[in-house]
Amino acid sequence: MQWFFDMLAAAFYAVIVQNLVFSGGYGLTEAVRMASKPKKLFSTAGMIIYFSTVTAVICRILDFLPIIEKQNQSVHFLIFFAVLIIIYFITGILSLIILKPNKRFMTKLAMCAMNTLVMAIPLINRRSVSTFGESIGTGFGSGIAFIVASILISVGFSKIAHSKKIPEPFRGTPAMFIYVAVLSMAVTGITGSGVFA
Amino acid sequence: MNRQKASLKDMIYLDGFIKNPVLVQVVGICPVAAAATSVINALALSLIFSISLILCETVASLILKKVPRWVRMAIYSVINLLVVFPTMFLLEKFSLSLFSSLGIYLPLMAFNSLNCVRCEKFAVKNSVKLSFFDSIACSVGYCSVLIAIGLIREIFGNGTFLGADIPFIGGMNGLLMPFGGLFIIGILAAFHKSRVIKNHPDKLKETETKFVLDESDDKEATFTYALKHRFKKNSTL
Repeated sequence: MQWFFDMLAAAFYAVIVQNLVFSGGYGLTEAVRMASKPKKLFSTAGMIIYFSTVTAVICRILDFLPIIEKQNQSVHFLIFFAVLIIIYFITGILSLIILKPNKRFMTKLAMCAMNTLVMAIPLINRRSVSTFGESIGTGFGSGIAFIVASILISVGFSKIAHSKKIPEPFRGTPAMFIYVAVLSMAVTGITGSGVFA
Repeated sequence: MNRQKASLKDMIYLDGFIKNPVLVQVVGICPVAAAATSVINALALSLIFSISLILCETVASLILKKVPRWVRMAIYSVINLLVVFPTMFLLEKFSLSLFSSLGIYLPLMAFNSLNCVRCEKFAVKNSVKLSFFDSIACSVGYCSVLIAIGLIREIFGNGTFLGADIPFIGGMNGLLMPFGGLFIIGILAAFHKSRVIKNHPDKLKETETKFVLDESDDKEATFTYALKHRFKKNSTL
């Protein structure tokens, strides 16, 4: 039962306390893209949750093997990369056979798999010496964190988009960057980091 | 500008400056916001990025045009890996401080979304020569922002320049965190827009952010569309 509570705690941590999109900037480009296309958010997030969880679990299992565990960081990355590519191609081929999807679905699948957020999870798990349960939780939680980040960006941007109080050079993309920076600062504040030395 | 007859200078002007990959297209933000905390880091990331983008676009234009898009997008990451992995391996052996300073953002350069976007939007639709020019133009635009941000963060966040202490400056270690990077990107984006408004008003429309690989895919995926059609009713300020 311990692994289940480890998983829940890690997922909670990844979503609320250390939202990886805001605190580390992982998958930020995709989160901003999804903020402008809210209808496609949940399908994209579903794919990210799938890839990040499955990759995190398999990479953690491989990390328990002594022959892999003793390798240096570069070789570890190479192994994790290979795992993600294999998962991606298996998923892609199965999708083509079973779902017979259109080109957009396959493009979205690629954008979700080849994402910094997905690849960051196994690397973070290895650095923080996560347990098996924590690895699953971080993988799942980071996908939920992606949804939270995209919704917050979308909602916030909708409030400031038309404001005439914002000077012309700051309207649009610059305002969005600064708004995301404020959100990121709020999340960093939860972790207790200081702004001034 | 006719793309087929465009010179390298024209492409650097349009794709590197007017439609800057970071400040306008909002692509490849992760390493810029999080890892460019010093000039050395920024230079290392710039070098890795430039080589991988030039390699990726050239290969995409040369041999990947007939390959399905979903396969191509994985191949771009594999090509990036060919640059990232040897760099990682060498840095881990010979420059552990830089390797530690870049952290996991160094391997994540293999998944930089800008490579994917430029290859899909440009390289697979154009000649090798134009793709090569495009990769140089985008590298110039991306790396200039990366280095500018690294410089600002090192001076004001760390109080150093190329590792040497600068007296009376520093202490804002918030600038070294991702939110500090995003603040600086926002301010640079506003500065960039003000320059375009003042000096190139005819190009203002080109600075509109688009988030699609292929324009025919989804006309809704622009901030302008979102502003007009989705966010209108919710505007409160």
